[in-house]
Amino acid sequence: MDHKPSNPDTNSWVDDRMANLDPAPDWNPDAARALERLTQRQPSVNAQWMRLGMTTTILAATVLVLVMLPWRRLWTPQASATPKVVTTFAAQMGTAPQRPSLKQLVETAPPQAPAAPTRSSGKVLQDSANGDAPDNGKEISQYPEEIAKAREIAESSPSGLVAPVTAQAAPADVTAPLLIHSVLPEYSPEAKQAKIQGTIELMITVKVDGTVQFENFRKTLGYGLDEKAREAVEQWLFTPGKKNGVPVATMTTVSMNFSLK
Amino acid sequence: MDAGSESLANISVETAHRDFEEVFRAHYPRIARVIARIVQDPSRAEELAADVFWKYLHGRRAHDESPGGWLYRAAVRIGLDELRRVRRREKYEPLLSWLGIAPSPEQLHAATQDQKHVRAVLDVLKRRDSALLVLRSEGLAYQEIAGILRLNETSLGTLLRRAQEAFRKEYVNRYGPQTF
Repeated sequence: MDHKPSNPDTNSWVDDRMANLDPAPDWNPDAARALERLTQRQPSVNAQWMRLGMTTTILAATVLVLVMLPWRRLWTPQASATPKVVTTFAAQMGTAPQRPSLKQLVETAPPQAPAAPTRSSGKVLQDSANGDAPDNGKEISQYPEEIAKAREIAESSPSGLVAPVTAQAAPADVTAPLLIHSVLPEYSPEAKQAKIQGTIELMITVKVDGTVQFENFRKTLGYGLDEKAREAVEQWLFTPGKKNGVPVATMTTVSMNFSLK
Repeated sequence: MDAGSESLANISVETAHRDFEEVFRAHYPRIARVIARIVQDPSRAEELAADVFWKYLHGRRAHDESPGGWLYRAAVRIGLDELRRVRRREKYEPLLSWLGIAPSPEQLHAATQDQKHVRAVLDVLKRRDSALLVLRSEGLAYQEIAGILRLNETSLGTLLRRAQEAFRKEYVNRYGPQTF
């Protein structure tokens, strides 16, 4: 680091520039008045405390909003349709004995075409009884055992017709069965007492005459609700699914949502 | 607290206030002048000087040393802060005038071109260099400046020369060599 000798020109030049800042000669700060004002000044709230208070308030508001968010709905896609079902049931509570709301999901048995997603062939129907919103269709191709069973049932049917489940069949060949009459299940006293809620899923076969043959449960709740659901679904009537205009037996999944409010 | 201790406390408080008044009357005019060198508006300088004494009155660390040193150091700091704030405001002056916002008292108070240049340079220099130049232009002795800025008195001359050189370079750089 080089230390240059002091340059007197620089010193005087800077002093001259700084002298421009000299206050006006006739200006004299009034100390007495300033002291009087100062003694009247009230201590204000410390800025640090104000910042701390504001930060705490913002954090509390953020936490409150986060706590009040419907996280279960956000995390569970299937739960999006639940409130509507619940509301529907609540409306029924006043007019009917304890009967659950009903949410149906009817799917046709599509062919097992690996390249073509089977969702396009599944048809979701709206409940004719209470007007529930349709739920997302489930891929029946995920259940090969049920499909095989459907094939057996169809083969044993009097007409001998069966919904094609081979890979060669196009999904559009088979139309979904249409629900034309439904009976709502009742809440069993045990389930009502135990406040059991949830969804029961049943595998059924819609025969060529439109009646229902119960196959098995895919999801149960117990407390007598499974039996109630089976009794109800066995009274349902469909327009059978068709292949090339000819009625065929089709396997479907029915979901029943039991809710107490 | 009994009557005796209460009276002692009152006496103590009164003494503190009397001390503060003495400090205030002794230093306020010069503190205000130091701040007025840095900021443009004298009335604003008086307000800021009062702020300095307010901080002195309520600050714990202010009383750990001689009042003069703390007050001058705080005055230079608060003045330079104000200068920076004003210059930042001036940057957005066209926008503010376009929005119809009235100019500040500092803007209303006219300053000469030289004053503006000097203040602009002081604003961009190191804090210590600006403080050295301001205190020196106020006429304080080396010993006083060294005490205020907590510097070694023997090196103050060197530091002051460096500050002057930095000022000159910045000034010439901004406003051309013909100014020197």
